[in-house]
Amino acid sequence: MVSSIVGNYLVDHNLISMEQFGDLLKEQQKVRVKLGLIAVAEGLISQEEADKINRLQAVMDKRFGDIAVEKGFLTQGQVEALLKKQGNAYLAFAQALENQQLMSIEQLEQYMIDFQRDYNLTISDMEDLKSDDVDRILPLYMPADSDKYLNAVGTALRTILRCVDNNVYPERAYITKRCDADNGAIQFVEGEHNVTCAMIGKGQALLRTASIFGKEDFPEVNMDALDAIGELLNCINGLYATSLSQSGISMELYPPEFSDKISGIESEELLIIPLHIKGQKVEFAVAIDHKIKMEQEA
Amino acid sequence: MAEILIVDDSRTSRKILKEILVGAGYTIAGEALDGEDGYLKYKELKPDLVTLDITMPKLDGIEALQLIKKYDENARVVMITAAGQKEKMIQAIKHGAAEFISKPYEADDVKEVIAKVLNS
Repeated sequence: MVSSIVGNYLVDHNLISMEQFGDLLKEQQKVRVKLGLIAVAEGLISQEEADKINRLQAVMDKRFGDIAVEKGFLTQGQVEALLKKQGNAYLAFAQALENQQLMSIEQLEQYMIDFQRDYNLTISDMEDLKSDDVDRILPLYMPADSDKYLNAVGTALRTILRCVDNNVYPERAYITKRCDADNGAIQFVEGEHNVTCAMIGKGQALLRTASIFGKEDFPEVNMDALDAIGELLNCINGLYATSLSQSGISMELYPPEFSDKISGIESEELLIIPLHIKGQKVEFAVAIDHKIKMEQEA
Repeated sequence: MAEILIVDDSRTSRKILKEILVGAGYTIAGEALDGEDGYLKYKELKPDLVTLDITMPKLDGIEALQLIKKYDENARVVMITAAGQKEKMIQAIKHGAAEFISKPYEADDVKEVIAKVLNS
């Protein structure tokens, strides 16, 4: 998810093109992150020092880490810690940027300082972001005092990552009473807390999500496509209920409802998190102890 | 090859399950969209096995299971559940469900469970 967040930031600021971003996501799957890049990203050595070690590597036939320790740039402990980070998605994305000769890790880190400022994040928040761990990233996108929604939204995001789009990324969530939409599905879950989840969109925004999850190329967001969205909600809520059952809370799922002719959804209090799924922006909504109603189109 | 009746209110769920089962060589005896329809089709089609979604309108899967088992105590019934429906699963076992399949479907799990129940 961090690759999508960072990549889209770079696209929005005209630092890479959308086409290059697509290539980077593919390249990222293949790259082996170099130890030097991680060491520079962690601020342990400069780019110049990494380049020097790389040059020595060409003539010494030794591993990067061994030379870095031998020449006093890094300690053995630091090398071991860096090796553990080689599978990190942010670093793999940075390596892909370097491999494609689009920017160095030092340049990327400069842009990440801008990102941190733009989103008003702390250094610790940035570490959470770069971890690529959904449970650490999601709170950065949640409004204040919204902890009660975190479990439901986290389950939704993890399910979408696994079943629909492994490059899904969120926008900042917000609390509201209504949200405009043209179509969508909702599901009510009854238990110690009554929870309603919804997935809604405008125009054809839900089409790709429905087609991927439903394993069918729907021509448009029709009732069959929305049935697939309802099934996705059913899977999300089933997993959500599982997590609650571990705390002894029993929940009953009701059949999902869906409509292709709505003007929006409303509730007494509603958390909306916009999600970018396969290039389309859709909204996932949760209400706790309030029901969500679909407003039928006039 | 064994004939299977699929009972699920979701078109998507029926379609995916049907593709897995047909791919494994089974015949789809029929499809039903709710528990009541599922019970009536079971009596009409007498399939070798029926898959029953737990969460359905009209009669839910547990209610349909009870009716089917009352009509045919040897009926092979596999319940389809979204994860987390623990209490419903306990009720289903009590009323004679043979096995469970969780959504979203994993083709290998589906084939394994169906084969196991048909061979029991």
